[in-house]
Amino acid sequence: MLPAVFMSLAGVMVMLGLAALWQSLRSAFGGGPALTGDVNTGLPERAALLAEKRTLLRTIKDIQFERELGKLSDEDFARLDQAYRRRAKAVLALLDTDIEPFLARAERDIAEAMGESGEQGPYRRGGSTRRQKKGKGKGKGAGKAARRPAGVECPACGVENDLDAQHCKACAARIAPLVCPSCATENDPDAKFCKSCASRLDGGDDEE
Amino acid sequence: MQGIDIPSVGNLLLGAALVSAGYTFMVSVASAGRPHLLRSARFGTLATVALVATAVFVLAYAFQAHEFSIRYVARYSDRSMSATYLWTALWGGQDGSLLWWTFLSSLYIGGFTIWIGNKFRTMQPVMFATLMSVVIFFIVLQLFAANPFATTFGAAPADGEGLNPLLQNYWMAIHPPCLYLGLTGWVVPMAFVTAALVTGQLDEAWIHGARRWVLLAWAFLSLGNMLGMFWSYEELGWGGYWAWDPVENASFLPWLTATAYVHSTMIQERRGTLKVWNVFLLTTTFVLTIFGTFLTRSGLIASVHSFARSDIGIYFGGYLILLCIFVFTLIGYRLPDLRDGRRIGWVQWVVGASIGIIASIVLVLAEVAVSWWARLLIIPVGLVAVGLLKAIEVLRLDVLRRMPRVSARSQRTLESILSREFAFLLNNWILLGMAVFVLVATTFPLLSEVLRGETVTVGPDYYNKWMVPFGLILLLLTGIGPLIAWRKATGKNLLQAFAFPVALGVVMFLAHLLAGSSIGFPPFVPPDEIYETWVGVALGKVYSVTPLISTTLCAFVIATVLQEFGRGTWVRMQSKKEFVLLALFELVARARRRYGGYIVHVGIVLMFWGFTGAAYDQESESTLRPGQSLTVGDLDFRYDGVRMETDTNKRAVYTDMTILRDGHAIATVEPAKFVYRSHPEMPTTEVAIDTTPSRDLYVIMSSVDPATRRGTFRVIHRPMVFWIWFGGFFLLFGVFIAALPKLSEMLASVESSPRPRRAAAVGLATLLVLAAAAAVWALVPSGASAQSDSSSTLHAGSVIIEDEEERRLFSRLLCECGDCQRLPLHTCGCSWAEGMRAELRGRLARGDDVNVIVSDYRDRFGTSSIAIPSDEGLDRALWAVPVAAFVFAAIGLVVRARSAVRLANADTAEAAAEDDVVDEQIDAQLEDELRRFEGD
Repeated sequence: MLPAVFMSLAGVMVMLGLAALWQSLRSAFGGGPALTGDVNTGLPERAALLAEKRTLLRTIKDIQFERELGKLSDEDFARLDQAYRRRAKAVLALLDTDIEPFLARAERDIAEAMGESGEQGPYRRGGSTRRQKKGKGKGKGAGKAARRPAGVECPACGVENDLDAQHCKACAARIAPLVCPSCATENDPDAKFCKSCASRLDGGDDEE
Repeated sequence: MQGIDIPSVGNLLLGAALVSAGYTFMVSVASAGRPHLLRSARFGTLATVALVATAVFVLAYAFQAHEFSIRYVARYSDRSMSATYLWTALWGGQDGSLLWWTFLSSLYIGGFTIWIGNKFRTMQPVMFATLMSVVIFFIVLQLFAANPFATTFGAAPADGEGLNPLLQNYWMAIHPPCLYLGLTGWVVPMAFVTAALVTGQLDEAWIHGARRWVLLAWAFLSLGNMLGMFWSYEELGWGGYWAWDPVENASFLPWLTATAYVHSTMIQERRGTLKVWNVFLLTTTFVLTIFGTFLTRSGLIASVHSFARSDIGIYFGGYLILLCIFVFTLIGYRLPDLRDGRRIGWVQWVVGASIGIIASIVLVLAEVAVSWWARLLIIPVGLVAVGLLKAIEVLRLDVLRRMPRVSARSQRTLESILSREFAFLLNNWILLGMAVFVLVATTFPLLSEVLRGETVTVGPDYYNKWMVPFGLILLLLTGIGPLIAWRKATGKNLLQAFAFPVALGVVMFLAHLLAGSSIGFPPFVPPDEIYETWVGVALGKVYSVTPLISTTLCAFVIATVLQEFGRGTWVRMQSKKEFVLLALFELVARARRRYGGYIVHVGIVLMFWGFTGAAYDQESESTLRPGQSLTVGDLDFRYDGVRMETDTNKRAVYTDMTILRDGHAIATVEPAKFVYRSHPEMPTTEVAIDTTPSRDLYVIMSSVDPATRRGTFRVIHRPMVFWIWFGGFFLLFGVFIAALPKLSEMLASVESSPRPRRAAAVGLATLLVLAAAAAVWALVPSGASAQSDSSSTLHAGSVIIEDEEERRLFSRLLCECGDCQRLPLHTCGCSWAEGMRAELRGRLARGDDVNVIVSDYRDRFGTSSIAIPSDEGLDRALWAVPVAAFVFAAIGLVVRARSAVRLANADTAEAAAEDDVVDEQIDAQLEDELRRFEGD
């Protein structure tokens, strides 16, 4: 009896393994269901911010409790509390402003994927958008096979513009990537803060 | 299943797993920024896991179906074995245990792959690549060096050789898998740390991600070690629970570094500092798990557990070297980021180099100097060195002050030596000190063989004596750490925090000092000196006061934990107007990590309590006729008779004994000998243990003659052993509390239904519950009878020891008959040992000194014949190097901390001047978030 059990277990396992392998190969060649990602956890900067927020909130609670326990003098508590709150507020502000451009991009990607699914799988546009953004030769873009579209859609109104357009011809929204003045990172056109160094982008936007 | 060529199928599966792992490795490396490849890598990982699992099941099938054409099956099983032992034989030998090891790693890897989903997307490519590289190594090892599917030469034998009877007991089914789970579990944290280093995302995010995986691996490692102790104690029948065997050390080392990591991450989370250190600790833990496997698998170091010497050592050595080069290059590459852009200044290099040079000069002087005046040179050299360090330190501070102030530095430095941060640093210092000490002692035989061509043995007594001071310091810090305030403790804080615990400690101290002797636990025990030099004397002194110090510290630490729980509950009762029990529950529920940690501390204290009991062991041995009795302390052990029982696979000889106190029977025990049919030449000794919370009575029947009914018995009275197992249970319970996901978190994730997360949470909870249940089941004190279905002793035959001096002498000498590796004369039962004991008894009777006899023995049989290396020549380096490193680390720590404190105080003055940005909306949002935030 037992030998048969083990043999069937092995059989099940090998089936699972082959199925997974097939899925893996299919994905590698661009097949499979469309990719979805959770904005809250999928984006590294954002995940880090969320984690930091949690840590800060916990720390603030913790030092309150420690003061009640008498492990922290009032003066120390005031100083610590102030420092942590200052940082927490900065994080909250970043989290608030951070999400808009991603939502816009997601909408755009979805629209594109829905529009021309088929020939090269669902990631083609994602890849090409990235290439467009990092166009100046940072060169980590997706496969060379992905062809560029004829134009670029405005993130705000969806009208197709020329590839080199800086602003939308229909609604004047910004299309070209925003280069951070302090660290030169390319950000999404409508970013308010730099995703890398968090400097303000919307105020000091003086390159035009 | 006739007609299937199982060996070929197995090899094919291993090959397929290798191809799949290699493919996944490449895809993951290429998947940075390409989500479709990342998904491909995820499925590839799962495929690899499934293929490894298939290979394991095929091997299991081969065992169950008696496929003796496979060499491994033929060597480790036979047709008479039950299905359970056929299953455990999977990890009974070298080749299969490597496959089992790979399988358990794969389980973690599979769980991790499902758990991670879309989290840490940018880190995932590196994570999968790391995981696959480990799998690739193990499969390559199996395919080319230790293939579990290798075939026998010629035709398949009709029956196998059978599993060693020592391994045929139920512990075999529990202990190795648990320990392996503890060791393999570190691949996942290793994947996190590698990914953090490669991608440069070095903030706290990866620490949060890895936290539960670390706790899981830590829990299994602790459980595995404890089960090992329990197995050794219950089954091996030599009377102890920890023999400092290289294999035990190999699993103890990662436990030490992992424990240090668990503590030091708290500082990083709280203060954003110690990044390099944490990365170092975690990678070291992983490297140590591989190193431990290497040590014991390669057969380089003699050990009870060791497998035959084989050529896989070279593979492990190569992998280890590659791993170290890779990891430490990576850390070096990221060092500037880890240190927040602060470079390592030349001054720091000079400090490091000088400390190294001075340490070497001192050591060389102490070693080489033949006359006392040369040794005196140490004093001026030392003074110059201290002056030099002081000068360098002043210079360094000056340089640092003039550098531009790094923003938020005041957040990142130490503000006082009297702070929780510093207590954590000390905790790391002691744990790492212990790790270095054990590491040096474990590898010393190897080093000695390579460096001077002499083999030496480092026996358990060496560790037992040296680890005592380390352990006491650790226990003290366990108490101090939680009490002291973060950042800076003031006089008022200290008084408030320490008053109760210190008072309780003092009460315990006085109680033990005054009343200890009258209840059989005297505060001082006779010193047991392992060397004849001053070091031996000093260690002996420490050893003799250990019971008193240890009980005092135990009381102190327990009081600190009670106080923490009590104060917290009181504060909640006051502020939230909650009822006591509710307040306590809410307190723990809202800060599970902290209070779970305290419960772990309680477990550690209870274990120390149990270890302390070992100082009061009493032992007696005698040959008796039925009706005669043996006395240990106030107990009499009456030998009643012998009886024989036979079942299908063995013949059992039981001896009945009654334990009497003042003539009243309090228990009966039946130590036994089993003779298995398959291995009649290896009778196993079944000990009988009578357990109560205050003491264990450990009865070993060394031999019995069924004809004359004369039996030889060894009885050990071991106080407090119960508390070790009980403490272990507490420890696991604490980890369970700390790792438990919050209920609302679990519910929330069920509702919003990212399934993987729920599955992971439920899976983790289930695993921990199972682990705790297994521990409870395993640690329930067994009755006073031989276990019905178990084995065994390594020490067959009988040894009779007449007095303590003999025991001391024999424990320091090893049997030199050539077969009994590492067995000291006081346990070895072979005839050579018997003859040698008789000879040495003669010398003792003539009044020769123990030390003289030991050194004569060494001259006669070489350095490897004594259990503890001497305290002279290169042997001294065995303790001197780690102790020197330990002391220098302490000095370095204090010096660095002091300068950090000075810098921080200079900084805070400036920092206070910074003003706040006022934004009412954000203020309100923060308040709102704080109100809603509960626990972690």
